[in-house]
Amino acid sequence: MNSTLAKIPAPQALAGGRDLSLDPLAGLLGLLAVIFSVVSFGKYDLLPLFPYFLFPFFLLRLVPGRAGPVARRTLLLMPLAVLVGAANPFLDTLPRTLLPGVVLPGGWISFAGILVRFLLCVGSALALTAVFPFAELVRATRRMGLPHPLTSVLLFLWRYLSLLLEETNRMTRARAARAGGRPTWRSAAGIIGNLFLRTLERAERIHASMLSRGFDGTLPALDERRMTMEDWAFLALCAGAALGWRLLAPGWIPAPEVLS
Amino acid sequence: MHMEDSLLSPGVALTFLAVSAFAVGISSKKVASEEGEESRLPLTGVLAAFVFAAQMVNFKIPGTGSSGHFVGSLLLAVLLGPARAMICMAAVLLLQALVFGDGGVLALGCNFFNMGLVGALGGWWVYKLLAGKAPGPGRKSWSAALAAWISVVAGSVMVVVETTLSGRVDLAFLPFLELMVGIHCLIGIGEALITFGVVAFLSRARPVLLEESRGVGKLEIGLGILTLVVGGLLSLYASPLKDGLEHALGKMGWSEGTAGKYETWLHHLAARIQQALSFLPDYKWTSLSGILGAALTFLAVTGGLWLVLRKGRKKGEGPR
Repeated sequence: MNSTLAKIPAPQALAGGRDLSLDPLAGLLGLLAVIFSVVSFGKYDLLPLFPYFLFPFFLLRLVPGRAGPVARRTLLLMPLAVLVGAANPFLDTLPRTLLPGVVLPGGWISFAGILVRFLLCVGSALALTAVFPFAELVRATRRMGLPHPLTSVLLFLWRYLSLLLEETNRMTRARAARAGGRPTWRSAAGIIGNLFLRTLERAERIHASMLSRGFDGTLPALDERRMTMEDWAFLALCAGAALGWRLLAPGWIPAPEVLS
Repeated sequence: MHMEDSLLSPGVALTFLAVSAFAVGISSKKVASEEGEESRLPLTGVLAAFVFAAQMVNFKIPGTGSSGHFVGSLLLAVLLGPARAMICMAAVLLLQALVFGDGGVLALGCNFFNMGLVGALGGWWVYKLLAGKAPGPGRKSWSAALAAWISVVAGSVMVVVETTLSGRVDLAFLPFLELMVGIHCLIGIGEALITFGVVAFLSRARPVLLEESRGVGKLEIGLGILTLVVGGLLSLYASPLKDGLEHALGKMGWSEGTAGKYETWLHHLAARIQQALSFLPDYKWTSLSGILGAALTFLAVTGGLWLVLRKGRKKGEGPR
């Protein structure tokens, strides 16, 4: 059996929230403000990052039962950040004062900073897709000004992803049943080549049937969503708090200085 | 090869985001302007899902005992042409960032640059260079394989450059580069073998698929390079990036005393621009002016993009 496929969670398990009264565009812009603020903090600014956890927590409160999958997925990806940042504690050993009386080597502070940033950025993005339907988010990116060929391709990608993953799974399972073991590069190339031909045929079928129903290159949305006063208020609160804290926090919580 | 937000500084992230937005804008314009291409978008969309599915096929890398998987941006560029391949890669990366948490949202610019621009467009140029005019099936296969290997290795170099410029990680530039390039030279072999196999298979099974695919056009290439240069110069002024660069130079043994030797006209120009634009020179405000600088860079480049694409957008206004 193909182990990688088994490890990939079904896309619907992670994304596919429900229609909320909150506009996904407000959520998306709020996410960008939060991530930008988090990323723009200095390398050793560890403590001022924590209030930003309010954003994913707030989002996950909108739809109950989504926090578990989001937390599991975020932690599953954590080793990536650990791998890249793990050298910091060994390379940067100058002691710095994190709080009055709390002195830590600079490398440990910046390493912890990387991990907290990772949890915040990945957790917030996953929380956003966990509470809003993915197609609605894509339409929100269209309203943000992303070019329509990209957003249309994204909608098709989302629609046919599970189908193609299933097809790949069937092909690798059929191969494993006959030959066993992991495929060599030659048989993997054969599987991928065949998958391409099958996908192309499927795509042409889909295209032809869409044309026969009057498809003219545009994917119409059933209703045109507009930002309401509540959406603007949510966005102003989110972005204002995120950017405001970014500007004010360094005054209240100074960056850890080298211990003299 | 996916970059995370936590390893990037805003200056680096926004600069690459602007360059990537430019490339996606040009590719979209190109795809939308091709005769009948708009109605062929479902085809492109389903093929983007193919890339995603193909990345799930795990295989043995001969001689190493480890397994690898496939990135596929070069294969897609050979099959669909670089413009549609870049749209597919942008869509795949966006989905991965939002739904699966692979690669950050702000890091999308870097990831698209490494895998879409370098992988699809850069790789496709290498492929064209190697394959020449009217290549046979054999030459097509090995040209695609070599181009795939080069695009993976070049992408990994960009990861190191972006990480070092951001200055969040203390790894020195050269050892980090050796490590990443070393690993990706091996990973690239897997990519090259699969690309070789698939191109050989398809040129036997469906030769018509591998016929001439058109590029992105000379004007756009020129504009792309111009954006890159302008974006790079402006971002040198953004302090987070500058700090990162100094940090990298310091790590490589170029302390302040010896740095003078390496100064070029580029550094002078960057310093001039920085001086002229530093409207918040007070030390306390450095990080703020850095952030504003990065935002200004972003606005300048996207403004340029808007000016270039304005004409095309009126014509190709699509759905909402």
